[in-house]
Amino acid sequence: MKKSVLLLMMLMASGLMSAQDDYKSFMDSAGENSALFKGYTPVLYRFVHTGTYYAFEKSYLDGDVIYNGKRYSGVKLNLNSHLDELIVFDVKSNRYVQLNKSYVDTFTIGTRKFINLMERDKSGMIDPGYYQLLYDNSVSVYKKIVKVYSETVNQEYIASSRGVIKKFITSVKYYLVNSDGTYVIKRKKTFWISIPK
Amino acid sequence: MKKEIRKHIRVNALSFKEDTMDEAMVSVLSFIDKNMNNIMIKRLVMPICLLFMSILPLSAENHIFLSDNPITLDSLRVVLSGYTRYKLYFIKEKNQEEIKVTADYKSKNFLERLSYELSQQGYSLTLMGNDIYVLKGEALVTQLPAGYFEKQSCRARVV
Repeated sequence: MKKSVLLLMMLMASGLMSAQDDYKSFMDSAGENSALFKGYTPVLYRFVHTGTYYAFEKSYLDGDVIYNGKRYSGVKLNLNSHLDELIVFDVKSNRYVQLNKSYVDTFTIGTRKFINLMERDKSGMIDPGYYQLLYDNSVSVYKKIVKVYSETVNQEYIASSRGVIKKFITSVKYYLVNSDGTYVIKRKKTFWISIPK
Repeated sequence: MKKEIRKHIRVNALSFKEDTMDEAMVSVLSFIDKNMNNIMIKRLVMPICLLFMSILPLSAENHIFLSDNPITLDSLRVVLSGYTRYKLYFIKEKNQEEIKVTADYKSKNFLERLSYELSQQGYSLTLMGNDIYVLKGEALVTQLPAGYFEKQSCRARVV
């Protein structure tokens, strides 16, 4: 009995020590970005699909992010437009981390600028979330990219596992905000209406 | 404004199709902001210009109304260079502000009257083309005496 208790205590101690070692190695590799790399693991899409759930390219591009009031420069970022989540890639530890949306302010991915709208705007037309900031001067133009998951039945392989085609369909909306209010831009005509006379 | 925007879209061959929508919108909005600034400047500058334009004729009329009120030589120089083909030249001296002459440049006998007024104050007027020279005392001799060259040639032959 005593031996088994002693063995159990030794196992617990070794477990604690290994956890401490893991934390230490994480802190050493993450360095000053350690606060950024603490977070959830993003959802993995472990199925064959057409298209991408990322807003643009699949590759992670260098960017800046203001997270919890602090600027992190030169980090690898990408935007999951299916779940509207910002993902950061830790090159040293080869890990993907989904950033806590309530701490993200603005960020850039490559040359593109993005903003996190925390609340619904006054007009009630723009929902909270990540938006690409296309233009910000006398008027502001936000671009919302949504990747809609879709499943269709493949008539050729209906009896097999390939019978269902899974794909992400891109849906883009533009919002123009000026002193008069908010306009949803769908095409040239609506953009034309939103232009001041 | 929309006419100018249409021209901008046409010149830059902007397309509002799905893949080029971003670029087209940003280009048009940048163009609008740039032109709005110009319009704002114009809106600010135009009233000032109009104000100046309304003041200018008044100031010109002020000079005309001075016909009966004698003015200084310096003022006359400004009036003549602004409203006539004449240019006034004089040597600046002390107490020159005391010399007062007619400003009625529109009258037919303006030069005669000016010459008379200057002579009354010890000055002379010389006209050479469109240039008026005002000097203290004697006027400039602008022409040689009659037969001057004939006399010169006679003397030369005698010698």
